[in-house]
Amino acid sequence: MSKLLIIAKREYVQRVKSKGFVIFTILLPALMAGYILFIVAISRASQNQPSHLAVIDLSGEILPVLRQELTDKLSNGKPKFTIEAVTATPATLPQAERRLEQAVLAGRYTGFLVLPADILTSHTAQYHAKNVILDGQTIQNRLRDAVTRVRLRQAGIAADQVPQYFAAFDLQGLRITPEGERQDQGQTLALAYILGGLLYFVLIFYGMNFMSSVVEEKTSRVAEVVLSSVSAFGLLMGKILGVAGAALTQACIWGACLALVGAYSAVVASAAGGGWLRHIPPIGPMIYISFIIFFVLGFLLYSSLYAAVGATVSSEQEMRQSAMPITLLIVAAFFISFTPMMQVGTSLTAVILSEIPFFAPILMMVRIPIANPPFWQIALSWALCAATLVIIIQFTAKIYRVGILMTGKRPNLPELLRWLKYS
Amino acid sequence: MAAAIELQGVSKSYGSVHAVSSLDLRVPEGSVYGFLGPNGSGKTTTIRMIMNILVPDQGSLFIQGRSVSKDTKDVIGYLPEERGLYPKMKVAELIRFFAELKNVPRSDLERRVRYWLERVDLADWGAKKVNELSKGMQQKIQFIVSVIADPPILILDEPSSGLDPVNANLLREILLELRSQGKTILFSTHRMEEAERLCDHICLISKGHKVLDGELNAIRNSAGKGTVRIDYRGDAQILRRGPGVASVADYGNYAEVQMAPGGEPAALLRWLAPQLEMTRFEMQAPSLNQIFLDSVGATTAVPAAHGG
Repeated sequence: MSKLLIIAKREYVQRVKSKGFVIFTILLPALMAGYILFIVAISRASQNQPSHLAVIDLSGEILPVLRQELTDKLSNGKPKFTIEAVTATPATLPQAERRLEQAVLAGRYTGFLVLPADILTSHTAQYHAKNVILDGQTIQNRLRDAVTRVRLRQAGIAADQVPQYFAAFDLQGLRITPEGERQDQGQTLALAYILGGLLYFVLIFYGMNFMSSVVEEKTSRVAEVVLSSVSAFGLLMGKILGVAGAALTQACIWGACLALVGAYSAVVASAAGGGWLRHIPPIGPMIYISFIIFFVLGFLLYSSLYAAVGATVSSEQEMRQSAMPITLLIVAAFFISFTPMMQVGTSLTAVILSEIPFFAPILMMVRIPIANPPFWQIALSWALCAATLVIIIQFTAKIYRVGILMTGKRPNLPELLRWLKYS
Repeated sequence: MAAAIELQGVSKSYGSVHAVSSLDLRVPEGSVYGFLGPNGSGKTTTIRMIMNILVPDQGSLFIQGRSVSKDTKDVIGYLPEERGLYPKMKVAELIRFFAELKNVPRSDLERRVRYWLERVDLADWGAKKVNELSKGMQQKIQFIVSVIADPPILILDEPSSGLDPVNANLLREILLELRSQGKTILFSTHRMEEAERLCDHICLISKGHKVLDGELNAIRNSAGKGTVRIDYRGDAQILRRGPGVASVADYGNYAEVQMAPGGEPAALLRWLAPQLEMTRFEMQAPSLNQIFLDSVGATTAVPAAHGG
């Protein structure tokens, strides 16, 4: 086995075997899944509670219609809303409200609605409840429909014609891609940010992780023992290879989890007759290939930068400070990816930004699903990344070679430049 | 016969600091070679160049007749002065890793790891993590790492520092055994009495320059005329005023007196006898420490009693 592979194997095995890796790999998807399920369960459960409403209708004509509109059912088939009319005049309203507030606090009502006398023109009403978000949206929709219905009737439109004015309206987004049109309700954007976010996370997490292992070898002085068997470049490359392997392993495990969850939800969704998940865009080969290439290039690029910095420091604290500029580069790329400009992704600025080697792994990756850039743009960003990588690695190798054996004070810039000149 | 290690006109500087200046060195095959010098004299830089960890600015280095390169690393086992092991690895795993890096065949790995752990009385510690071991135990593991591949050349930088007398003795036994197997051992230290016991050749460097080089006996014989060892009680200040005395190295309980050319030890004894209580008065070859002090100058020398 070549020495480079022996180094890589040690680096890989030590990482993958560590408790942190195992816990993080298993726990993160489990926690995420658990969290999502928990949220879904909570919101389902709360929506499935019966709501008992008190209504003060000062207009005198909305309530009967509202009763017809609020026909939502619980999962057991019983009506969700039960309505109790409370009479009041504008003069007794404050008094009635105070009484109802007490009743809500005492739990006799979920909440109460005040429909003002001029509701048909003012288009406002008040919903008082301990939690106004819970049923607020449903009540607002139903109330709006009720008001519209009354106004249509007053305008002389026959009651049997009214329902057709309420037919649901559906604006279907049809995304045009070289592979043909398909429905899109934001799934493409979501996919782009999942990929970008994954790269962002891997670059920062494993970059920092890698750097601390460089610093550890330096501070524990084990580097010199290793260097008595391999060249500094061999050690550097072996380490990068090993860490990349660990990162890829983790990404694959998560990818598999995601695919499983995706497949499961697709089955559930199609069984339930559709929904958002049915329209997850098929992930084309270009996205797979680009992701792997950007993963590798981005990882190598940032690992080399982190390694160079790691070789110049001699403690964990110094490391954190010195790593900031590099981490900021990644963070900047991630933030830029959320700007509206990138969400359109076709402007000249967006193209140029996504070609910059240090940004490309995240920005180009986000642009590929969103903007379908021509292949030459993608290929150019790969080429620029690779070329930068070649240059950076030369510098890193020199700094690493000198720095890994140096201890004490951090070198300043002139000293660093001199390191580059050492043979 | 090609020398195990040979340096020709090797220089290395860091910026304006000359760590090593045109150093020539010849370590004969099968010798135990003491590479001596005070702290900061360029020992570690020289060793790192021999290990091809640093590249010299000038000059050439040869290992068994071949120019140093990545490949010559494989014939040398190295124990650096700054000890370093991966703290979170298991002991046996760590030794295997370093053995693999020195091309030990896989089929022989287990046997060697077991042999060496037993040899240094750590047979039960293979499955423990390195950071669970005491400093002295880690030291022994570090030593195993340098010999596990059975290299023909060993470079040991301060091998016994941090070892208790029992383990220092164990180490010396192993070194003698390795010497009898024909290994070349380059042994760097600033503890003269240690070098004196083990080495057959020595080289003394100071401030990057070679000061002395050759077989220990020859060096001693050439420097050894007119040295007197005096064990005494009380104050030996008057020694310096004694007749025929060139210099005095006073160690507190005994002193080594260097006689000036033509100085008569017998005359000194007669002069001293009424003034100083002596338990021993012996003419001898000077200790390495004396030679060291004479060659390097007392200002840069390290007292023999100190390890630091």
